[in-house]
Amino acid sequence: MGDLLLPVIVFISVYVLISFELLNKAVAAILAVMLLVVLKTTEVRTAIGYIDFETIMLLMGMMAIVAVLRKSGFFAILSVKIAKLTRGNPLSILVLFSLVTAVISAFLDNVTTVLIMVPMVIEITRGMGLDPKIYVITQAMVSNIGGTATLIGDPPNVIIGSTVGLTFNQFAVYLTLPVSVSFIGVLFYCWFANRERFHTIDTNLAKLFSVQLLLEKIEYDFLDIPIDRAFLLKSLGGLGMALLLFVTQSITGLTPGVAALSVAMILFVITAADVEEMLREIDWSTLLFFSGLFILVGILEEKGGIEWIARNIFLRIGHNPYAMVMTVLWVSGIVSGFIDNIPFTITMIPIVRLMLESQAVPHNVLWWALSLGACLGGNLTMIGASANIVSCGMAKKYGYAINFFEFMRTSAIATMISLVLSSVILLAYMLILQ
Amino acid sequence: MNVNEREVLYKLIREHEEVMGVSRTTMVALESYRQALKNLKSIDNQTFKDLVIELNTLIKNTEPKIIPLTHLIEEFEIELQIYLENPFEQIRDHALRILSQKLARYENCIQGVIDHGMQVIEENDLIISQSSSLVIRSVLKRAHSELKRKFRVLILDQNFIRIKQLVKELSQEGIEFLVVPEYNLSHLLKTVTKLFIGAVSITPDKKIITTVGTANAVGLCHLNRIPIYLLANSLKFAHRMVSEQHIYRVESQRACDHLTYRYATYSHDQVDLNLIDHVITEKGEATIQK
Repeated sequence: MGDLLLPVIVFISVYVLISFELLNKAVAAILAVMLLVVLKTTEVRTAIGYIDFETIMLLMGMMAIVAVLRKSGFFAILSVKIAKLTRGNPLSILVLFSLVTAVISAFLDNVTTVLIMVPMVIEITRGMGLDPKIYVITQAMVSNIGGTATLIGDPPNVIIGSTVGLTFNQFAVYLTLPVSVSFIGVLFYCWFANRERFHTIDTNLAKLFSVQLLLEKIEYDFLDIPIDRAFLLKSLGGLGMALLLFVTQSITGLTPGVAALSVAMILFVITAADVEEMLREIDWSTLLFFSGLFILVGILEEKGGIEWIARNIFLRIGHNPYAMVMTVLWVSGIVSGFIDNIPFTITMIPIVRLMLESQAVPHNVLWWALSLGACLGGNLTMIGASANIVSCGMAKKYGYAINFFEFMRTSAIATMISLVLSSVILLAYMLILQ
Repeated sequence: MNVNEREVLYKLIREHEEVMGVSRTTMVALESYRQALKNLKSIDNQTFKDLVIELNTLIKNTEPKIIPLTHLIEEFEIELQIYLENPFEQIRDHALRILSQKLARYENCIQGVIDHGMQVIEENDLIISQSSSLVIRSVLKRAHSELKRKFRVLILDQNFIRIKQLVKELSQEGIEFLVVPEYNLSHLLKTVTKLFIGAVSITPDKKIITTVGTANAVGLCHLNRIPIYLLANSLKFAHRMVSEQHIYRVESQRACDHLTYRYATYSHDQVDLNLIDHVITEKGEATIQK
């Protein structure tokens, strides 16, 4: 137990530092690792061995592919096309943008997705004299929901998939249903709770005229960049190739990390992109943070800390698989609303493994519960997910500050809806698939 | 439309005018009107008439008034009048057709100004421009590509959004240009040969409503006997005086270094038509009665 005290204190300190944003996340994690190495709690070689390089490679590869895609102007074209499709109808703006945000988030990083979609949503809604806040909150929430659907959509899934060895297809098969149902549920709630703001404008000629002018301006502003068609096609081809390799993982034997990083490097070569510029787009801070956390959790596991948490908290609920699934889903959902879901997921993986050792749960349902809880729970509060913070930050920049409680007024009920719907589907999986 | 929505629309039109110029804004507005009509849900005749009157009134009262658009909308109103007792779908079809004709007419006007405007550019000219005008951009490009004239452009920068398109198109066309802050023009006046300006409108009391900063450039060029060219189609001639052109004025309270003061800005300049040496319209050079 004496060996465990220092890693536990260091681990809790890192959680506090990053939860209250007292220190940069990467610095906090790496500083903690260095402290444990200096105090001889672990050795450098052992520490490095704890890093899950498959996860790091997948994240790095996807970040590089997204950097090339952004450079190609693809996202600008896409967002303008959607804006035009909405024809300025408030409900169409909500539904179409949410749908596209959710789908893009399923394949790309959520923060990247909201960085692309939210400015366009704000431009179009404020240009129509509407309050953009509800649209911004919805985009943040649906990006977290969409990201839950695939192995590469959200960091908790990347971590779960890479460390546990679940494939892209398994994620798609088991999570598409709960994610789709949650998406519909949350969107319906957002519309219903604010239905007086979504009146149609197709009987108001002046408003229709105003919207058309606005769409012209948006097209002018957002598409005022030279589009290199060859570059664009190569970038889209690269994304398509990466997705194909993920789907055919069982045939090619290539792990998602290898596939993503290989495609990224090939894209750098064939597009002749400025590599230095592309590398600057990669979020090295997040990758360092991941590496540090893997080491910290590895040390905690080595010293028996994870087993202690599992036995004294999660295994106390008994060996009922239904209770285990619900506990993991709801605990993950609520905790992820208040603390970063990345360290939480990394911490939970060995705990879930121990739970599975004590009682098997078929079809990886316990892992799906962790994924759904960690990803959907991020919607609970404004600080629950990076996409929420970034979206609210952008809204503030445009002069529409969204405070913690304003966000939670919509997000708390929406999160409960998505967790309840996920609970029902996970229980149905267990009943039907057993 | 309530007051807030009307303000949003007028701001939008001002923003269009600032980055695209009056001609392009007029064309975009006519096309937007057509699209709005297409997207309008089927309604009864009387409601349709009310909606058309509401929108036309809004368009004719923008801040500032976009005079070519106002003229074309007035023509549209008159021509649509005879169809207003028809069923909704028929009125809409006629409205769409008339608006298309107005758009085509306006494009012809612009084309005429460009055709005459490019003829005034001479070899080795150094032409000043600070406008986002579609006409001026096209005149410079076509004089270079079709007439093979060798000239340079001095772009006066007051607001980069306004000159962005000009900078972009001159770069693409390979026309030599230099951007200088508008307040530094005095250093370059000896080498300048022409000043090109555009207009939002030309009023009966001999005033030109034009881009902010133009009045200073015109004043300096006039004092230094540099020929000033106004490129404007005949639809820009307004029926009402400058005071009725709704130039947008904002007044606010400012605070700086413990001092507070009232601060006012105007969306456009007004320039005396008598300072202009040449007015180029779609029919050629117009004579100014001074």
